[in-house]
Amino acid sequence: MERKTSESAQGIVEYGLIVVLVLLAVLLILSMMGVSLRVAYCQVVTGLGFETSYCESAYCSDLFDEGLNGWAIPANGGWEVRDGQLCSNADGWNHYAYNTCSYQKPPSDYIINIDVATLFQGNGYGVFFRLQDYSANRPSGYAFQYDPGAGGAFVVRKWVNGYEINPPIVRKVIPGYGWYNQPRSIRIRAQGDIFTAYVDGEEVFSFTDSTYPEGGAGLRYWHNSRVCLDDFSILPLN
Amino acid sequence: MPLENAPSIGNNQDGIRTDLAHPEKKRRAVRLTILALLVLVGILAAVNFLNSDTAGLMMGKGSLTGQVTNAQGIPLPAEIFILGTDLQAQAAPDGSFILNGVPEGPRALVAGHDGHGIEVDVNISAGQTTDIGQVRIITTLTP
Repeated sequence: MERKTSESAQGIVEYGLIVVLVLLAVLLILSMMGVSLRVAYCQVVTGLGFETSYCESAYCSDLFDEGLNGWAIPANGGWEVRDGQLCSNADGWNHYAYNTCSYQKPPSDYIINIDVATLFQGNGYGVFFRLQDYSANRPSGYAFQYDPGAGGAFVVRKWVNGYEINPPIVRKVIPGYGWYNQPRSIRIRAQGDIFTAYVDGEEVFSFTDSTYPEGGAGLRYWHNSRVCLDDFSILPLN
Repeated sequence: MPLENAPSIGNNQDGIRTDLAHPEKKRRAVRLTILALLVLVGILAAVNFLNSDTAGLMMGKGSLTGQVTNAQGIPLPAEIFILGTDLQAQAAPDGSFILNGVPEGPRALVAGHDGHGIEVDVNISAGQTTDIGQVRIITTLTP
């Protein structure tokens, strides 16, 4: 009788081990495929008709009603909160703003959303995504650029240690586009090594690059650009 | 088990059933499954590791040399980086540079100067110095 009890207990341990190993194999396969567990979980939960705050809430958001809290601004400044918007206020080559929250919470896949972005003058502004450590103020990552100065085009450039790499990864010229004084919404979707940019809800372009598999978000403008942005958020993919 | 539910001798009047799974056989099947899963997890973990930067750094290393210029061929004392590593170097005033300890295999070199940079694909062989010649930092709008 004692022998039988022992065999039964051993069987449970072995079955438990099988379950653990199957789960481990699935996790490794998902990892190899670049699938985010959160995204997979949320897709299943949403597909089943459930709603959870875990899947819907923004990783980071800023309505700019509390000043520049949540943004790291390098010594040359160039940013201020004016009338509840984040606005540029300086001349010169490069002015950066790094979203500090984006380095603490989000996973590698996300959507950066700016509800309102208005360029009033100058060559343009950019939105950094998959931005690497910003402490040395030498950004590495990708920058989506609203760039009338580049021949009137939307552009994505790779950045390495403060250098913008030529040629751009992707560039789309839009003749006759109203670059100035038009409030635009900007959305950048980063999933694995596939990136898609949207302006006013319309897809501008999509590209693939595997240099930066993870990283935060930031902003930049250059030359004498004057831009104001409002309602910045970083959202889950689903 | 209540006595009335206990099997009687009559149940086995034609001999003890032999089609029942032998406990030892069943246990062996479970252990084989565990072994197969362990092998699968091991292979998947190895593939994951081989795809990581750490594995690349553990492989052989070589050196890289070249010269950085601008579009007109004028030497630039540019900064040199190898993407995906912490390796970096400063080119000399004549634009020449050498980087040692570069992990072998396909790599991306970035040369940057005055806010602009260029990325060049290179292939590093272990124990050898790869000369990539002239690297021109050209500012262009088109991909």
